[in-house]
Amino acid sequence: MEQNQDSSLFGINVDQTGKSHLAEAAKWAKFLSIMGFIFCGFIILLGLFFGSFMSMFSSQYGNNPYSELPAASTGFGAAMAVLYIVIALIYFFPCLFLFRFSTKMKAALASNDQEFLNASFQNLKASLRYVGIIMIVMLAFWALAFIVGLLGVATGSNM
Amino acid sequence: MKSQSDLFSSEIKIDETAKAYIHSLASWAMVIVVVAVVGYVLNILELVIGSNEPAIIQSEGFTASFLAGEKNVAGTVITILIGLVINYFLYRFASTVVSSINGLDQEKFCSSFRNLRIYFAITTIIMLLFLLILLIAVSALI
Repeated sequence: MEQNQDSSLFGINVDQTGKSHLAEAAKWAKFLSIMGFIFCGFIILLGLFFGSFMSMFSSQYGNNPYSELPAASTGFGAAMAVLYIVIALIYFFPCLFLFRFSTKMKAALASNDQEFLNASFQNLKASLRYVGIIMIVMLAFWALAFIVGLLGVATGSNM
Repeated sequence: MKSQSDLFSSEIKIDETAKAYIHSLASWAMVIVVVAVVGYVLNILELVIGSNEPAIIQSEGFTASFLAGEKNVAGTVITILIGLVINYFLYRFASTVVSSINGLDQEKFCSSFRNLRIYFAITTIIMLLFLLILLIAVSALI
């Protein structure tokens, strides 16, 4: 207990400047997360209407021989719908963590609540970790595609 | 335990749990910055090394042709510049917040959140623009 009091004297506190910065950050984060939710909904809608959109596109612009096969076009549309929903689901979670960060930070600043402050930082950490992991996975795929592309160009130029 | 908050009644203390979370989130923010910069380097490499001639690909079953290999230099450069600006603020936040906690620098700690605020603000504005462009494109298509 004595040790706790010492650390509170020589520790770090969130003063008025810090509070105003954190409040502003939380406000922007909330706006960003709400836009993220809208974007998720947009992706899901795009996925759901992808099948009908593709059939409209092929009937307008081409003589797609596969359009005679309803199973093929339905299967492709369904696969794309699932893919879009998965993308929306992946994108949903960092937005949710960011939203929780902003709401908990606002509550922490309003009531000077230590628990809310810790919870808000925990959610910001979760959001950044999630985005970081997804970025690493995407970069790995991209680097792999880049290397394969380079190998393809090298093989093509040798032939 | 209550006496802690009595000392700084209008301020919230950064306790050991919060410190651990801040250290961890700063590490992940650094990871994001590093991965983004590596991505930009790869993007530039792709721009420099990639093929110059646009190839016309005609997909089987579709009369619509797609241009592949055409470089959008201006678009890539703008994207990289915007990305660098955004990630600069995230980097500043991550580096400042950790050093302020390690050095128990109250002023530096509070000002580090200014960088986080700017990072969120720029990201939000860019995302808003992107969403608007996407909506216009979709409405034009329909």
